[in-house]
Amino acid sequence: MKERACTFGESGGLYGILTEPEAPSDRPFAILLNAGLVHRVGPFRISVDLARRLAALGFSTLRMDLSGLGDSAPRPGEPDLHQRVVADVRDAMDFLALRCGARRFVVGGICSGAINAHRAAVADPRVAGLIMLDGYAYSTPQFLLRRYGPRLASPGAALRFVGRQVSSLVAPQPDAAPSGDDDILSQDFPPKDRIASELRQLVERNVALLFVYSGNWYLYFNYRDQIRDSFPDVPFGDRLTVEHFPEADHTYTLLEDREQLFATMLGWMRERFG
Amino acid sequence: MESTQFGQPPLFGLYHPAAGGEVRGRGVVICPPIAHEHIRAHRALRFLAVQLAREGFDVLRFDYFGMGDSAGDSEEARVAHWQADVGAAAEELHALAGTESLAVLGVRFGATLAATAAGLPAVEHLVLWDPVLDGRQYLARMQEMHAAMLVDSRCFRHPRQERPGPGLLGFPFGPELRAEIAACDLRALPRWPSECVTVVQGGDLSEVEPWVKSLCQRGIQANLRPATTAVDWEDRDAIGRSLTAGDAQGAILAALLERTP
Repeated sequence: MKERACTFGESGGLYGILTEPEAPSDRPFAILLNAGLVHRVGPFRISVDLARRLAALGFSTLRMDLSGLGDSAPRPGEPDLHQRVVADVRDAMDFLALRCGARRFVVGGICSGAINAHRAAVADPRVAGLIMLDGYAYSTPQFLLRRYGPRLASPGAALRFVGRQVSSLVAPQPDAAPSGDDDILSQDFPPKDRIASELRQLVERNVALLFVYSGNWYLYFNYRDQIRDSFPDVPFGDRLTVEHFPEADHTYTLLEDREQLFATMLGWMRERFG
Repeated sequence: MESTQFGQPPLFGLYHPAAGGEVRGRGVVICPPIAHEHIRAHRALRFLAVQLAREGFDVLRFDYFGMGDSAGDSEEARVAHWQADVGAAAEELHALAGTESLAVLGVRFGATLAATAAGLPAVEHLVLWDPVLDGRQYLARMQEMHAAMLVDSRCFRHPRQERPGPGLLGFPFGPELRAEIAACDLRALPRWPSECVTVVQGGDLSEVEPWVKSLCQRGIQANLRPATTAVDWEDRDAIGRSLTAGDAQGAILAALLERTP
């Protein structure tokens, strides 16, 4: 395994670390994006560990800082955050194509990194795989039953629940995920129709999708078939793999949870691109 | 900013050459904290390095073995590795910048490592920001935070019974490393790498003040610069959050500028 620092982008302001296997291969390159404001190493160095494990399987990985994060400079002249992300990841792909001959890419991230990876995947046809850890999720009848069913079994809880539903009818929030008094990881997902359309585009492009959800995402996701149930018109076929770790926290703090996560991700990479 | 790799196994560093105004011929090696504090401090230390370079210092930030981008895993790390890494970073900065004099900034356990580093040349000025004085207490606090996290419903939906293992707040720390950290005690350090020590401390000064006085009594030019911003190093809720240095940054900058020949 070899690792080297890379600067890239129009003015050389983007920064990342490229991890490569000893022997070159024609497998897709992985690009790992920042989780929130955490720099390229990822929460608890998850991205470093993952990149090195991927190298052992023959995959090259760039763990990069998006513009304005970590050691990357802000991108001048592009005020829109979403467009900046797309441009940053495109610069990374251009760089890897030019320097290493990379032609296909798998982009991934946790939380905001997942959302950004989705944006990059939709925008660039070179993306062949998308990994989203705690990314988008939309409620379904089964989700609501699993989330609220146990509470309704108690008369007091049922009354409180009905009260909250009446309040939400007075001030409805279309397409928002259900909220609760224990909401610590508040998310405001885009309209479901838009995401459905984008997922359809990815499926039509034959992009392999790996969606993984932790227990901290319980306000948004609580059963493995939820993505397929949420988007019944998207012909995922076998392109979508969903994994649920209800015991794990959002950043896989416990090593045993992280091992499970890595086993899922590495197994998926090997199966889809090995 | 220039990237550099040095040592074997290779460590990653980022070199910020003196920029702009006066070039002082003086280098600063930044020794970051370890584990989750290492990640939390990244942004603040980057900003500090940029400021120092603007003031004419040649600055090297780096990651210890098993931390950040550097080779290895914390499970394989030893305090002696990290102490040697500080010396290797000083050597690298000298090779890059050819600076005549060296200051070392150590943060939290990085302060402990800076004060006990192996292979350091003469250090003109040692600046310690929120230093970990007692490794045993530091480790115990991390273990307490880890145990509390396992039963915190904001982290885990149900209390977790973790399998026995090296995990400590997201990083694998083996028993040898833990024992070595616990054995570090800056209050009992027999020799100091510098005759000039500045301690920048946020929040409660009750532990640090008598210690700084004791350093003065030993003939070291030690001084304490209180910072009004107390960084939430030991706040479990802040583990994943990037920290803000607040006025500690200004205090560090002022300390380094004041001692510049």
